[in-house]
Amino acid sequence: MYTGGYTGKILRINLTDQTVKEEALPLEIAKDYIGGSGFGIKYLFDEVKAGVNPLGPDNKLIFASGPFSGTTVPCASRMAITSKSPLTGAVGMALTGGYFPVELKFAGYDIMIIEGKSEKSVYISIKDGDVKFRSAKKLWGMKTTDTQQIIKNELSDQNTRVACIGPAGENLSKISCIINELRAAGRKGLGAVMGSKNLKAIAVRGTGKINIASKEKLKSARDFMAQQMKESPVLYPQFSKLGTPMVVDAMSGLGIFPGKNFEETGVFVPVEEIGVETQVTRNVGSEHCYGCPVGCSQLKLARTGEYSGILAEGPEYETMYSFGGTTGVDNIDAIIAADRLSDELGLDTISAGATIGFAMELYEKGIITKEETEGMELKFGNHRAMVDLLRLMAYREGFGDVLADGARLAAEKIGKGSEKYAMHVKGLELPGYDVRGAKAHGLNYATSYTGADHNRGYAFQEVFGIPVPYEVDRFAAEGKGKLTKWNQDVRSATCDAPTMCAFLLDMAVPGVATRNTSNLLEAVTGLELNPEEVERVGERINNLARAFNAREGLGRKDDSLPDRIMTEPLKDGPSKGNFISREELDLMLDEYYTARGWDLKTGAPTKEKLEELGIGYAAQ
Amino acid sequence: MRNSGSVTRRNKTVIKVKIYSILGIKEVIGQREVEIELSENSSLSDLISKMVEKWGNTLASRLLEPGSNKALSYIRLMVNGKDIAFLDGFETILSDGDEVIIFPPVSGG
Repeated sequence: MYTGGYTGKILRINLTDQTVKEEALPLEIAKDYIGGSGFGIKYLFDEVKAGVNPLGPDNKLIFASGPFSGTTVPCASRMAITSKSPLTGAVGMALTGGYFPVELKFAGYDIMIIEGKSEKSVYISIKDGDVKFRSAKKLWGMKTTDTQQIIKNELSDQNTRVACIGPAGENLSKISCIINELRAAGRKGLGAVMGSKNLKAIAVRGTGKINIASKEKLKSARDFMAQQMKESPVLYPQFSKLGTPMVVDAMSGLGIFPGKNFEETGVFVPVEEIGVETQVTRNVGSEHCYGCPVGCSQLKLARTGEYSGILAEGPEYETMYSFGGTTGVDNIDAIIAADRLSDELGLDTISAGATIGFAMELYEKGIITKEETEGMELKFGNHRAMVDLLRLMAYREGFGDVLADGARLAAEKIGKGSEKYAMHVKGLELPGYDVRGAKAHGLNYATSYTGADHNRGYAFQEVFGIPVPYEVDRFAAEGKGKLTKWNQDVRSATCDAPTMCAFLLDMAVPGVATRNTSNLLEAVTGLELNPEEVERVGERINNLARAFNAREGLGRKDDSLPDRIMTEPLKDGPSKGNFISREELDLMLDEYYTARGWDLKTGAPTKEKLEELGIGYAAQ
Repeated sequence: MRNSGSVTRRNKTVIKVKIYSILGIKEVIGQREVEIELSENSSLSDLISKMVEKWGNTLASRLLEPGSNKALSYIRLMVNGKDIAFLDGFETILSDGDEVIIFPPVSGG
């Protein structure tokens, strides 16, 4: 029986026949998976069979927050959205913050599963237990901010929270995202899954409260966490004021801020133009997610040229990379504008920028010409072309249609040897770290269950020099297998499943993350999992996700890195000369599979390992 | 390592190393990259002492444990991109043209 944290209910919505069911969330599932990504992957594995078309009616969209969302636990208003990714064919899981996640909890649900496909375009409104299907005819084609506002007006409730897609999702762009407020469940093409179901938006409003198992224990657990946050030398002193974009300066300093589709990393270093000192000249305020005392999200106002007056919540670091570093654009205002436009169109900023950067390299090398780009001068640094392309991609017009499904599929369409310049793993474009100078981070890109995803096993030891669980040499390949397993499992168990902000892990609780989660779980939910058992939940989630991917035919052969990362040493800067050779990657993979107890040849989880984790049923 | 050309002054060889810093450290130093002269065979520890001499207590308060010449545990130091834990720590001997990277705590990507 649930005593707190969980509502204990799943909302299942079938769009094909417009039916709605409430189901009980089994307590065992809560204990084995905690919430968020854990719930998403569990239900995805159980309900989406092998070989399902990600853009067909049999794929599902699973929204799940964690047990702390909607309580007084800070930094917990987050939600995982899980589906089979149309971009990668693997597990597609992305997290978002803001206010929608807690509203879903207040409405009474830990999980919402969307299945089937609506005949006509619809949106769903949820007010506590009352679910309605409403026509989205007039919303179709609309950008995301307008969509949210029109729905609020239509429902006569400005406190309703809306998650929606923009034109990119409607047009089934495989790099489209789901937007709530100005936040994105950004990666892996989840917007296209929603679009394929003719579902424009979900509006939710709840008036319920979340019970707490022990208020006394919660006070003590919160005090422990608050103390870690206070003692952090970076969380309040820097991060709350500057947010993620300060990382531009740090990655430039390490020589791993990707430049011009990773060809010019360490050579093209626009730190003066788009680094933190320039960024603060555009800051006009900050935003907080529900219940967050940090408020890292910086509102930036573009102030020059044709972009003047455009406001963005962000751009976050990753977007500084994707619309800055990798496209060779050093115009801060263009980056702000591109960020906002992507949010409005519902495009993932990382994949969109990385795909444009890829196309720019092809243009510079003469692999594509003005004939293909329909007259567009697609040189690195051309910020106008970058901004124009976003719209063309979202609406699948002209050359934008070629790029609308990300770099891997664009390379397939273009041919002419372009694949070697497509910077992706399993179809997911690389985030903002040139992993030639951070090899555990690279191994995580290669093995993460979602493709090249920095957030599934962030190697903060290499990127930020945080010596937890121990110090590592970022240039070494040896020893990175075990470390990557730790990074992935702890991240899953303490951030993605309980849906706690991942920045806490890096900045406040790196050495005590599982203890912190254990404390909060007991206090809020009454579930008693010691820190080792919490980490075990992370391991279970990663294994079940891997079993899903293995069932889809993915394995060791797919755990790779782009050619450039494995063959071209970095040309200049503090990481000069480094790359991850095929031999080094194989060494790291062997170590990683060994640490995980997976089959060395196929990379599949073994029956023994799955049984040990209590998920033997997932063995092939 | 980049060779910027060591010079000999009064029979003493002087080397030049580049310091690259960001955020709070850079704020005190005033420039992202500065060059500093040291005598040959100087260690990282010597460099830090010289920096504190040059930029005073403001730098010391951001770089060192109070009342000591030991760097704060969360300060990240690299020589030519390599973390000093994998060199000889503060006893790492600097060569002409070396680049020393100094990061205050930074996170959030």
